[in-house]
Amino acid sequence: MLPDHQTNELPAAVDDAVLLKRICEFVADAADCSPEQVGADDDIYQALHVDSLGAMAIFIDISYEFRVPEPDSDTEFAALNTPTKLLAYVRARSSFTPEPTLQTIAQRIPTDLSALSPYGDAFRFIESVLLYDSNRVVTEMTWRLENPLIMAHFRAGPHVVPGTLLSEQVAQSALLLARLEGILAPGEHLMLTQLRSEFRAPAEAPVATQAEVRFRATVRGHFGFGGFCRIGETEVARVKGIASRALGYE
Amino acid sequence: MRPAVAALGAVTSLGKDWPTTWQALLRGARSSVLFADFDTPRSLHVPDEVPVSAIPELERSLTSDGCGAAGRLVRSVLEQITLPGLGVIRLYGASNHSETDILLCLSQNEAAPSSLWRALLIDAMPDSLSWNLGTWVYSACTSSSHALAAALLDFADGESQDAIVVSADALSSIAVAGFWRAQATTHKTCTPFQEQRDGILIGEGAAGLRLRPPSRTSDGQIHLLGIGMSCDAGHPTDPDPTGTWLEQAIYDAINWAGFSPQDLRGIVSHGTGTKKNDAIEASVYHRIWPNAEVPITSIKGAIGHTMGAAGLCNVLVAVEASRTGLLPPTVSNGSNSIEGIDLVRDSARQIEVGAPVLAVASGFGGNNFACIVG
Repeated sequence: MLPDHQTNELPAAVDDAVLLKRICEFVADAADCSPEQVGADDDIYQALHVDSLGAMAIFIDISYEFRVPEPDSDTEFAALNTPTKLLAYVRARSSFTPEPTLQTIAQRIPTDLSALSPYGDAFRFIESVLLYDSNRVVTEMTWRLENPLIMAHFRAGPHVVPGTLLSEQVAQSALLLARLEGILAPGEHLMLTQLRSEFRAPAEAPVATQAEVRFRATVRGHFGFGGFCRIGETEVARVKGIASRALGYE
Repeated sequence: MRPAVAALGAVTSLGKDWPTTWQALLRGARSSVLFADFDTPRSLHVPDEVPVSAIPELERSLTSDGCGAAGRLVRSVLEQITLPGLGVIRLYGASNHSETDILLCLSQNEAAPSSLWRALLIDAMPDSLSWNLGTWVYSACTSSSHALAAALLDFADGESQDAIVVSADALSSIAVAGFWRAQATTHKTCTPFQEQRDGILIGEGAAGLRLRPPSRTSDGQIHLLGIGMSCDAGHPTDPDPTGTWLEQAIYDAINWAGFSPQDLRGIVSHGTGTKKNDAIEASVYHRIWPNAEVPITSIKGAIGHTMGAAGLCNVLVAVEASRTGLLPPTVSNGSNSIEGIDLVRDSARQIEVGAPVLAVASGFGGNNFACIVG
């Protein structure tokens, strides 16, 4: 299940069955199975073989979607091991607040991308920043036919922009956002530890894609982010990932 | 914890197991055939005269569940390094392009079985071969290096007691065509670090090693002493022209192991035989060892660039070099070596038995890896 920033629901307004179904979808995502295979009282670790990163993804989904804080301790974290227990946790800890609307967002556009991004010119898939405000950035990349990465992809055409590059644009935008938000110390980077992408439509070069990214939740020091890649109004990819702090070389 | 290397396994163009491969490397043997003589689907144009290093008699057909040459190579190495009654063991696998020929098969056969499509989507090799707790890494030519790093880090965290690291890549016309179009393939003989070098010998192969906790007695075993990794993210395919990030990875490995550069006695280099890589890599070694104190070798002229398995192949050579006190020679064409390094060529070089040896690997995406064994 991928992020949909515009449709967060207040848990109190929905009944338990709907909430539980949503939680089971998150668990199924992490367990790489269908939601129908997830039982309400299944142990997500023992029965569904969710690993520590998968558990992180579940809590990031829940934290973001239902505005609940992360568990206070590792013991509590480990004890929330079934969809039913997760549902009870959401009911007990949810504090939904609406997100700021687009109209409240002022545009502050950084220009010096090379100072904010560790990538070389040929590896940077952000050409400009269209919008930035608290926890939200929109970037743009123009995929030209003469770009060697595009030339080599379907040499006889059509020159479809590889999905991995669209995902990379979103991931690089997440790192850029982290820098703009000032959540990284000097010398720190974000290391991508998990990424899931859904592709909705082909992006055929030459084309400009806009990536919109925001951080969804922080759990145990790992950052969950979600984003879209669009061509104008057409959504071409949905991406969500988890990144962790990592020391880099400056 | 510094895990001990308990077993080595390999299948290369020079041998169907590791001992045969090692002896051939020491003799200075090399193996290459023309692409024209290589039996693979030909949906992409590659000139017949492009040399490749192919494993003789390797079965290349694709089973309906998507297991082909790469999967068979992995199985062969696992048979070499797995002991009966080993119990639960962590498996770390790696590949660059895995069963890429699934793509060719699907593109050429409209009636391809649906199982092949599923194999492509979920990746045939891990699905058919992975064990419980298997970790599979795909990071271009540093795939097996990163798999080894994952294993070592799990040892360091106390999460692992026994582990197997295995990697394989089989020749694929897709991969050969890609390097040929990039004008990176050699025309005749791959001669790393020599002035007349002209490119990579694309190869295939598999390598594996079994790790276990170090024993309390000094029994002559070789251990993994330290690793270093970096990613410069400068260019999708070109190496970082400054070599700064490779240098940093090497220093990180040296620091992890608790050594100084002068403690090392040998280097098994990435050494692809391309103009760019070898010049940059040699400059890094020259900066770290300005008097060329440490002998350097490359095996890519002998068995070719085994893609995802290349990093692990280098580690196997480093382990055996430390264990036996012999560094195998680099394939030579008689031209001068790049200045500023001590290239092992013509015959094997003796080094101190048990001495620390450095293995290096680099890969697309700006990945650099260094590992010290001894």
